[in-house]
Amino acid sequence: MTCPDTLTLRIFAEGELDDSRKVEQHVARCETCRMLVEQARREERVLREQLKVEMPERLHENTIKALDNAAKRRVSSRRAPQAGGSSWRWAGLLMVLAVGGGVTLALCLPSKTPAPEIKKESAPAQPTETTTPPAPVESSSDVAPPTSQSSEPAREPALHDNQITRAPGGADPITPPDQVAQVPTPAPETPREAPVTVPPTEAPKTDAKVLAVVRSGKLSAGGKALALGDALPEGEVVEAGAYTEVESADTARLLVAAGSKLSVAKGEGGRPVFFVASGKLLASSLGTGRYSVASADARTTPMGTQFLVAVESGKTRVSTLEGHVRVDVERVAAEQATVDVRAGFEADVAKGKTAEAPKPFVASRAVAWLPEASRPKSLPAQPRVVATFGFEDGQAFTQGTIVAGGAHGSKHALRGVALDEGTLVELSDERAQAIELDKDLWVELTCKVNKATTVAIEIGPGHHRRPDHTGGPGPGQSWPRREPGLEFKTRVEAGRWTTIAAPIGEFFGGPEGRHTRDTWRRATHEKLGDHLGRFTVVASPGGRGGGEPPAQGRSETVELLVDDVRFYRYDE
Amino acid sequence: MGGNGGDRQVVGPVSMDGSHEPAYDLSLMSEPDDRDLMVRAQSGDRTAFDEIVRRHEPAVYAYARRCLGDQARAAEVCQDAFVRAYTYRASFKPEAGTVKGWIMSVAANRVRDALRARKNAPRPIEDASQIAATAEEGLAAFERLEVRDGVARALETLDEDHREVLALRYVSGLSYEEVARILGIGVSAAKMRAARARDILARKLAHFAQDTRRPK
Repeated sequence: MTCPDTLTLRIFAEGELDDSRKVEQHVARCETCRMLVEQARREERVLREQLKVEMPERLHENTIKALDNAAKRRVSSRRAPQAGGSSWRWAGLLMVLAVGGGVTLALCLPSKTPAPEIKKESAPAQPTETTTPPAPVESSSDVAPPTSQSSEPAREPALHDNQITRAPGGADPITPPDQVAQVPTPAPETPREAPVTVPPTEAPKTDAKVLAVVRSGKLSAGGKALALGDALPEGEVVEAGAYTEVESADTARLLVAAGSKLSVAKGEGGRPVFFVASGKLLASSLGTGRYSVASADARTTPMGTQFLVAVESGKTRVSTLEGHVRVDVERVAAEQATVDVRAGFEADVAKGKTAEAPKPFVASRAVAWLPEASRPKSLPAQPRVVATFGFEDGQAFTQGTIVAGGAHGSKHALRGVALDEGTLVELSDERAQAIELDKDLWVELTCKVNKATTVAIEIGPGHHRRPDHTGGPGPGQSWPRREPGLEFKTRVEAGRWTTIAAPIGEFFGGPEGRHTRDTWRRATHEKLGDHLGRFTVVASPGGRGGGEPPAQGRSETVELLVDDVRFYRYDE
Repeated sequence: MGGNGGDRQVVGPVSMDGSHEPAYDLSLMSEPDDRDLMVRAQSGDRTAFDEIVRRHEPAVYAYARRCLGDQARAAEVCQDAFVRAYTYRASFKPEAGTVKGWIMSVAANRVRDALRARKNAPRPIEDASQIAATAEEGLAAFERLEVRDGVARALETLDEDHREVLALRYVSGLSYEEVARILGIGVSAAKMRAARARDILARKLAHFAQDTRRPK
């Protein structure tokens, strides 16, 4: 036998070679191969040793918290969505879109509750969309803490026979829908006022090509009425003659207002794409499938299970009840095209116009058109904005420089200064210092970086730096070490304004266990005080941030712009 | 296992008739295995799932960390993987593989999503032949102290497939059967891919060693 190649010897050295008898005999005779086998064994030891990773200190604790949140979400989704608070991202999402003159709206939903009925074949699973949704949203989800499961393009874990399958060519693994359907979930509620409804357990008139079927109400295509259970004809505009319910297998339920016009087409991976021409609809995701809603001005990517779409004239209005929605406005420069709309806020967008920062709205009005039985059981409280910092007046910061061109079409933003641990801005003035700290205080800011990086929001006592803009210590001096505080880290993609938001109660470094607002305040009083002291935003390349020194050989800096910092609460 | 008498604490899913079935006598079972824990988790026992998390979180995190090269993102992916695993725990089938393998498959999906979302992924080196080192030099490279610390950094420069297989096998400690399932390839292919990845890694380290010995 000739000497085996090194790949074979490596496998042999691991004891994993099938039919190893011949190699074993050869190695016994061949000193060179024996030496290589020994080296391969040492190589494996070094490999295992060198690639060991220590878990971050609080990871386990945070994972358990994330599971608690997930469990709470599941409970609440079976009962009623919770309004406001930190649970917003887990429950439903309601969005109002007012569209005039042609608005494009695309909604790609990570579904949370598998539907118990309708053929599974139509459940799409591809993560991309023909209506060109925004890039996979690390940062958007990252608005939520790392625990958010809505943070990425929604694809459920591939669980068929406990394994992941990969499509040919290395495409994404696809979840066999029957696996996910095992998850016990409640059947979708039927509105009390819905006149006639196809029972959810009834087999629909559908085949693999059907994208959606009529469940109740009146829907016509080309003047011809569709019967209950009929499929919506692909690519044809249908009109609701009355309040109508449409269902897409394992994907979504749409409650369509009378007079609305829409069509459905097949997107990439068979995913249904609903085109809203006019009218309103409330969409609730049902299963593992994803879908989108599109028109001409803006496209919207909601992170949640429920949203409302209303089409009016002159503009597109996106109003979010739970979770958050990413709206991409058409024909606006890429860096300004995206607006994140969070629970309790709404944004008006129009094709070719940069959207302003979302504003609080009254949720109950947005759902007034729905039959009472179909309205979300719980609506978010109107957020109360405590303070906003837009830097238009060149005030309210102690680190950073004012530059032209801010988020949401504003004139100015704050540019970070490059320091040893990254690029940093610090917010501070009387208004900031008057903000009372508690776990339910939400922090939101919009930032832009020139390269994908981790951005950390830090709060803590006192100032990070001297309140001047000298840019750093003198030769031979170093900055004083910051006192520890709380921080929230997230990844931000390069080149576009991205909004980050989180309640302070979900920042790292907070007190352990569950707390009421009062107990949280008491637990953090010594560390943070009662009011906002230091508020910094740090961007550093290579996944750092939050005051960690840059790694050796990675001294690159990142440019950071921060704008529209605001603090708000969902107080009732 | 089993037994329902005495003062022993018995836990287990409640069957339709109200009895505990199967039951686990904690006083007799110091360390329930993963599948028992998963059965309990599937019947709603959160503490059982927390124990699964405790057991496998280091492997999941380490895998994500080595694949992503980013601590914060790895932590996110790790948490997300467990949340998803918990959410879809009913889908786990004991007969189809280990709990660890199943959880790693969930994590692998999240890692791939994260990699896809990341635009500035490390530039892969396509072929070991680009590196001027022989296979034997590569094998010997791990012996040299000056390159040992570079293993983790060198791993980051591998392409995703090679990083993934090395992380699953040598960081998370999965069997080749489990690795193969997660990658959707055959066991032999998994072995070959891992060996190939090691080969490329080793050659890169050998190349690195040559560089470090070169006079400045």
